[in-house]
Amino acid sequence: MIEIHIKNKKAYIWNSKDACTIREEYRIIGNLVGSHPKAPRQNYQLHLPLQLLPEETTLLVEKGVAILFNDDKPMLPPIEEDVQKFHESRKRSYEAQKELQLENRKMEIQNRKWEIIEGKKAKRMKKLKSENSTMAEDAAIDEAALEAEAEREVESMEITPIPQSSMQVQIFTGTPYVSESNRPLYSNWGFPSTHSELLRYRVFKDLWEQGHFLTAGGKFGGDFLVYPGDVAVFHSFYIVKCLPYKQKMSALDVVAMARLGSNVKKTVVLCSIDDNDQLCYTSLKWTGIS
Amino acid sequence: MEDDRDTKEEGVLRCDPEAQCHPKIEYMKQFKYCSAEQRRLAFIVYMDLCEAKDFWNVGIHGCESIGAILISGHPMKHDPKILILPVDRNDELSIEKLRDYVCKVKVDGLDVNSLTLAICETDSTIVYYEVTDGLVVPESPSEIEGKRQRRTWKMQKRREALKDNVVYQSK
Repeated sequence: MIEIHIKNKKAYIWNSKDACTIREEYRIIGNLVGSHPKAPRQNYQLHLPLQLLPEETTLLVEKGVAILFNDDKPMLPPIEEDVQKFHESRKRSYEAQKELQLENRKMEIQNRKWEIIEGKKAKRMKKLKSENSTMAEDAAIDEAALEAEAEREVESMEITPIPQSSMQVQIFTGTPYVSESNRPLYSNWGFPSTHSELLRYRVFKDLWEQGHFLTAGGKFGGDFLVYPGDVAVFHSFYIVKCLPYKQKMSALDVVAMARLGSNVKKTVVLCSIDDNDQLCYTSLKWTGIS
Repeated sequence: MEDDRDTKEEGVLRCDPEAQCHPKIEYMKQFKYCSAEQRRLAFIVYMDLCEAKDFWNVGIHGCESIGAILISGHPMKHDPKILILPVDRNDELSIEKLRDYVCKVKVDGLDVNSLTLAICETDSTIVYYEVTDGLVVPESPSEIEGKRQRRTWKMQKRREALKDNVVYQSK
C-alpha cells in the first residue's frame, strides 16, 4: 500500500520506494519539493517529499493502491508492541555490528602484521638503548621471539568488541516501528467537490486511462500537460485546458491559446463536459498559413 | 434589414464590399440565413486566400446547419482541401459553439473532420487556426521542417514575381 501523507491539505509521499512505484506502475509523476540532503544549498535538483496533485491523490485512492495519513495530527504515543519491536531491532543491529567489527579487526591485524612487528621491534630497541646494552645480540634474539609471538597472536588474540554506545544507528525516512493501526488516518479528503474540480478530475482520469502521463500545466498556461511516455524521456503533446461547455470566450482568446501551443510545438486541447455528461475534446492548432 | 443598415453606417470606414457589387458578394446574397457582416467577412477572407495566400480552387459555400458562409480551397496544389469559417475578432465563441461548427458543418462533396477558423482583425489582418474534434497529435519535427521549406519556397517565388513586376513597370 502506498502511503500518502496529508499535511495542510497537501499530499506528500515520503517513501522513495512508493515514489518510484507510482511512477513506474501507475504513471503518476508528482513533483519533488524537498531539499536534497547531499546538496542542501541549491534548488536545481530537489528531493523527497514528492508532492502530488489533488487529482493524482484521488486517483490513487480510488484505484485502491494508496492510503491517506493525517500529518496535521500529532502521532499517537507508541503501543507496547511497537516499543518492543524497536528494542529488538536495535539489539539485532548491535549483534550484527559486533560480529562484523570483530571480523574487520582481525583482518586489519593480519594485513598489518609486519608493520606491527616492526613497531614492536623499534620500541624494544629504544628500551635496550636506554639500558646501554650491546645492540647486535639483543636485536637477533628479539626478532625470533617477536615473529613467533605474532604468528600466535592473530588467531587467538583477545579483541574487545565495540561498546553499544558507539554502534551505528540508521536514520529512517519512514516509520519502521509504528504499526499502521496506530497512525491517524485522513478521512475527509473531499476532492473533487466543486464543478470545476470535478471537470479537472474527470479529464485527468480519462486521459490517464488512455495511457498518457500527466503533469500540472501551469508552465504553459493550461490545466495539465499530457505526455505520450515518461516525462523524463518525452516532450509533452498536449496542453489541456478545462473549461465549462458554455463558457463564452472571444475569438482572440482562441488565438491566444492556440498561438501559445504552436510556439512550443504542442496541441492545445479544450476539454469540457457536454450536455449529455460526456467528456469532449477539441483540438486547436495553427495552420501555418501566413 | 437591420443588418443592411448597420453595414451602411460603417461602410465608409470598412470599404464596404456590398456597395461595390462584386460578383462573389452577389453570389453570397443567395444564402438568406447569413447577415451582411458575415458576407463582408467571407469576402475579405476569400480575397485574402485568392490574392495573398495563393490558394487553389477557392470556392464559397453556404451552410444552413450552422448558418454561416464557408470557404474551401487547397493551401498548395497537392494539399487536401480545407474548409474555412470566417470569424470576427469580437465574435463570442465557446467550446459548445466550436464543436457545433466542426460536427454540424456540411458542404456538398466535402467530408472534413476539422474546420479552419479565419479570425479577422479590424484592419483585415487574418489568422488561421484549425479546430478539430478529439485529440490531434502535434506534427513531427520532420513534418514541420517540410512545411517550413515549402513556405520558404513559396515566399521566394513571390519575391521573384515582385521583382519582375517592378522591372516591367519601370520600362
